[in-house]
Amino acid sequence: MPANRYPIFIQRPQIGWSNTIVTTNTTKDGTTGTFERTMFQSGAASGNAEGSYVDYVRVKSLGTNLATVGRVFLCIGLGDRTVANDNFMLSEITLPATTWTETTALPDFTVPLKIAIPHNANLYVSIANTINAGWQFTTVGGDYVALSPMFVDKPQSNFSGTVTTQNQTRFGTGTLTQVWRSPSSNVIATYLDHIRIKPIGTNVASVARVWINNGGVTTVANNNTLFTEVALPAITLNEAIGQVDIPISMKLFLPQSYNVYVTLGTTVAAGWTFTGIGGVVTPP
Amino acid sequence: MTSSPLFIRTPKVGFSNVITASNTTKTLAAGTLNRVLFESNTAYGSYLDHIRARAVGTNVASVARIFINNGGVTTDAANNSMISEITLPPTSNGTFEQSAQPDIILPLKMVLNPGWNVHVLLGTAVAAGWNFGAFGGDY
Repeated sequence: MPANRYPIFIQRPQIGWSNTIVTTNTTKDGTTGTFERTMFQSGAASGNAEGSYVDYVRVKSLGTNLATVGRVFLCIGLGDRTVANDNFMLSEITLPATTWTETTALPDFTVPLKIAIPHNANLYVSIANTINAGWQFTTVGGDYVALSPMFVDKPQSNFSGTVTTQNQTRFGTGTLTQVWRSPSSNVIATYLDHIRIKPIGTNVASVARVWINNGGVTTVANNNTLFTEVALPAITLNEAIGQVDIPISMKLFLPQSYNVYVTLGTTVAAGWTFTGIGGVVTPP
Repeated sequence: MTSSPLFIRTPKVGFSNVITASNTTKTLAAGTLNRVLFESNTAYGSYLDHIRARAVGTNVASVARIFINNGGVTTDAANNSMISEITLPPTSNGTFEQSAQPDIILPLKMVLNPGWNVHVLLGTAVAAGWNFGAFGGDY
């Protein structure tokens, strides 16, 4: 095989998440204790053996929690998690105590990684203390497939309709409102640039939560991950003053069949609308 | 002469084992070495982007020394060169494990000849240890 003269690019996005993690595991070399399911495995999105790029890990509180530390591990090449030499703690993040409310957003925490990993290497996480409600970790990246970059070649916008009813689930189950859809065929991926939120009348304060679903039924918690949330202020209808536009930056390539849903923390009177704006990446 | 650039084709990651023992050699030619941190591809060589150092518990201060070896025996100092050092601060996970330890990243952004290797040593022995990951790719 000749030396490679072209840069490599991801062409199959991969987004994977842990289940809700509540139980302590204080290992620092990844070899002992119970680990939750693999978040991200190189090649899982494409079936290729070219390796993957891991951009970042998003960490979200799923309720009221004590302070702890989150740890992100890399296991190389389908290695054995009981063998220290196959595992490496990539990073730690301080996770503060959190108090869940239905009118205020909890912060998004991000662990930037920006690393290329070889085929079959996988990421998993642990927390240092047993806590109350739990944390969820979501990894964003993609599989290397091609020697050309991936671009959107057709615009796509989806919108939710008016949302008024609360859904206080912490796991993305219950009644959800879809705001973005990745088709299951004839696309490589979709790109969701941002979600625009608008009030359509008088509302009490609430919080909007944005969930990514992997295409499985939303009633199964592990098919969903809380990606971000934003506080929605109390609104009083005014026919002479424009109400606020609330954009949520997403900047995500989503695999086939992945969908994005929204929920409200508190029921409101007039409602809010959500519009996803982005595009579609079609096969060559 | 080539008129087109060379790019990595396959990502490569290497880990040290968890290192607790010291080896104060400045040439890599003496003492006990840890397992190779990063092995360059034997066909076209490799690119080493950065090394990430992670404490795995409570440690006294130390220094990590990074060496390259040209594929020859490490006991011959002429085959090795120290290319960088990282000051490693004392670390503690505390009683309650509520604060993260820092990621210590050494950017290298260097090419490695085919068959060359990268090693890491500690200057002072520590209790819990440090683990090192090297991130790059094969050409």
